Amino acid sequence: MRKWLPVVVFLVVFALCQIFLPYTFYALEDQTLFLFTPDYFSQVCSMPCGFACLMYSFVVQFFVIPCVGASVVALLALSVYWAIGRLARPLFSALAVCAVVAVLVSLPTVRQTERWHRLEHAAMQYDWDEVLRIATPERCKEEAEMTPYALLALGERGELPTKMFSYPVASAESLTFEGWQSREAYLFQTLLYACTGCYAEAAHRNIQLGTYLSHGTSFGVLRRSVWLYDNLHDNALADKYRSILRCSVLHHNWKHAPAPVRKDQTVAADNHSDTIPAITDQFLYNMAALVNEGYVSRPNIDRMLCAALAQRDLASFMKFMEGVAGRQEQLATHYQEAILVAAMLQPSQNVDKYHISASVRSAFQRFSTLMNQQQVYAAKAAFPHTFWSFYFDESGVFSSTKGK
Amino acid sequence: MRNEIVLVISIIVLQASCARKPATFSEVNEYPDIYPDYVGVTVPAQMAPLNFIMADGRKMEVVRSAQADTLWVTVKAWQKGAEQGVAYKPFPIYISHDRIDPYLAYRLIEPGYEGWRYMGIYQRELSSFEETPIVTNEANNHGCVNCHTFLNREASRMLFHSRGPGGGTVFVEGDAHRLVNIATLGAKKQGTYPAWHPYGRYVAFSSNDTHQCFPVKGEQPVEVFDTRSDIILMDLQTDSVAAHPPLNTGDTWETFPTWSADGKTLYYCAADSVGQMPLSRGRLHYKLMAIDFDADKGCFEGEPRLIYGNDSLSVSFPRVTPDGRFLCFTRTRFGTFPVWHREADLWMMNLGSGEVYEANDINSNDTESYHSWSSNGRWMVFGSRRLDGRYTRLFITHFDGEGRFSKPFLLPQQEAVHNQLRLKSYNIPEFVKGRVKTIEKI
Repeated sequence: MRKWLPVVVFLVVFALCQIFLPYTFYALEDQTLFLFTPDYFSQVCSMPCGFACLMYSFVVQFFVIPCVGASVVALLALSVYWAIGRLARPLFSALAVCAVVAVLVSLPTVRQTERWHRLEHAAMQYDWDEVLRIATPERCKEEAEMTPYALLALGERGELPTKMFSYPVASAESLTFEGWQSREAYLFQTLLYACTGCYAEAAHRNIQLGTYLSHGTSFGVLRRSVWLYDNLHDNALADKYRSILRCSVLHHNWKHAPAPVRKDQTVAADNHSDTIPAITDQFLYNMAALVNEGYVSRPNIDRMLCAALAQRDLASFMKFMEGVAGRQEQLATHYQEAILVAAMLQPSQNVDKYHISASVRSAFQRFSTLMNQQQVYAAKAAFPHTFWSFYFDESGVFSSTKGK
Repeated sequence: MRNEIVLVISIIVLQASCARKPATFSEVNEYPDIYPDYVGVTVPAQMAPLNFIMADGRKMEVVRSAQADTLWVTVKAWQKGAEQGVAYKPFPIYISHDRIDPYLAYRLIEPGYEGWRYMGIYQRELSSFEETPIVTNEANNHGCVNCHTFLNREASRMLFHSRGPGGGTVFVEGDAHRLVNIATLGAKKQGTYPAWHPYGRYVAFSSNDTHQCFPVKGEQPVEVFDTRSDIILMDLQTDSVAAHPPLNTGDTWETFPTWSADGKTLYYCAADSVGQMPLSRGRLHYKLMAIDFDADKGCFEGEPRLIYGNDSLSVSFPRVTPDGRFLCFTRTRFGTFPVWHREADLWMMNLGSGEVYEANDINSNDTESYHSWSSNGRWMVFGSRRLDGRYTRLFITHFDGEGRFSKPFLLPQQEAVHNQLRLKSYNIPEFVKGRVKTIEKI
């Protein structure tokens, strides 16, 4: 029995880690770097505890292989078991080690971190179904940082203008982490701008992400750089990053997955002009600029329109809608809802050209009736996932003179 | 001289593989495609070996022979396992009698965008591959260190900016250094690009309000621009800063000061102010200007005069040769930060005749940007992005003193692929006459 205890400890810890922490291991590898280059070694060795950092990075680079991370942790647990085993009974040592690991992986913060890494991993794989399985509306209410991922997934599935307000949207910044400066925010923005087709801006955010990592860059940053510059047809830079990756153990024959092909997107012409608009810290402006400059796709148009809605900017929304209405076979629900509000607030606005379904009109009438009776909470409760519920604030002011 | 030539030629890397070499080689009448391209370059005799590899990665054997001041390099290359290889036509490397300053100082930083992790100002000994830090941003809690310059290329007199909490301009004198917050002195303006007067007492700084923008498409990923700039003068004897009116006008943006060799003239760049930046960045055209300076009185005299420029181009980084006869500058279509402009090229002006011409021998299809002269004016180092369009690398070229440059060569490295693998750009290369003492803490 005693001779099997180490095996049991290894297997139990391995199982706990592999079941509860697999995406954390992937995330660790994505954020680390180990290269056989003079620059890398001299930089790491000049850091405090440089040798330890080298060893850590060397081991973590293998976490990209499934089960390796769990195996390494299990081996570490085994060494702790043997160390404790010198002082206590083997069975007690085994139970203690397994119990500690079990408690650790069960901690709410650890669970939350793993959930976040799973979300990031799904988004990086463009697995929008999985993203939405993780970032449910209820989960987003508890962990608001997941909302941008959920909205990105909705956008890519063409469901943003029908389901956006099922999620806890606060403003246009709910569609992006604009203004946030963190690894998580820059990773999301890299994915967001890659989805828009603006690979140059995605590369910008990706490089910024690297500055939040201990080596200034990482395997993940380099892999994304290769992919982005391939999409930008910048062979020199893509080859450079490829060459650097090949200085690591596992990237000798690495080939990235091809980018999902978007058939409806007009390819933006490469044009060196000093009048090209620049990215700002206002997501609505950025999306309008992208669409105007040729990054035309269904998701981009939806992002632009929905950013206006999330910003309660009905004037911009109606202006954009006029420009893109011809592309709309049938208006999405939130667009219909917003048009009705715009028509109510500005009766002179001609909205007859937009097809509003009878059911939406009828629902708006009922909503209006409740609001006019000052039954704000009842109105919002009756129509919780609508643009109306989002647009009109708790003060219940509901009149044609209310601002945007 | 002969010993130096022998030193150079005796240390050229023999890239021959231990693997079996083919028995036969077919001779071709062309130069080998090597990386970096050192075919026909002119190098100083003190230079570290010009290590190279075959651009396509083939194995090679190098044989060299010296003939007067020319080193002839014969390369034989073969694919691993091949029965036959290729013997290329010998190519020349010309050894110049003109000495080069022993060190090069530069900053290493990721190319562009907004943030960084590690950066520092380093020095490279040109006769070896040794690169050591002068100061890194570990000395100021990962802030920014930038805009280093030396008094007449002397290692013992240096200044640079330390940005971040508690930052300022660091003046190095021998083993000591002091931190000065220029913005608290006199004109109450921060110093940006420095130019040290050759007599040592004065330093001209531009004072810039700098921003970046990121176009949504196009080949230019970043544009850096000013929304205001002036030139201030610091007197190191009195630690005072003055803002002379001709160089501090609201409707003109003055920047990039540089002194003539005799210190009697300040050259700088100026543009009419433009509103609605960055949308209007295409209308920003900097011209080369000059104003006289009286070093005894410490003041500028007369009115600024236009030296070169028009509304279809922009001038940056004017630098005068030590003999005062020529001035090199960077020219772009617009703007004030040429490293992000692919069309940026180096141009020369003969200060005697006024002739302006493009330095075709050293420009490429990509960015050529910052440049500086050696103390004898016979070598110039400049930054170029010709290798991959993003990472600035240093090239050195020989200047004959009459207006002509030799084919530039890439700063050699111990491993030829180092330039491809390094993830940082080289910034602000400056020749230095000696070794600079490392600063551990600011």
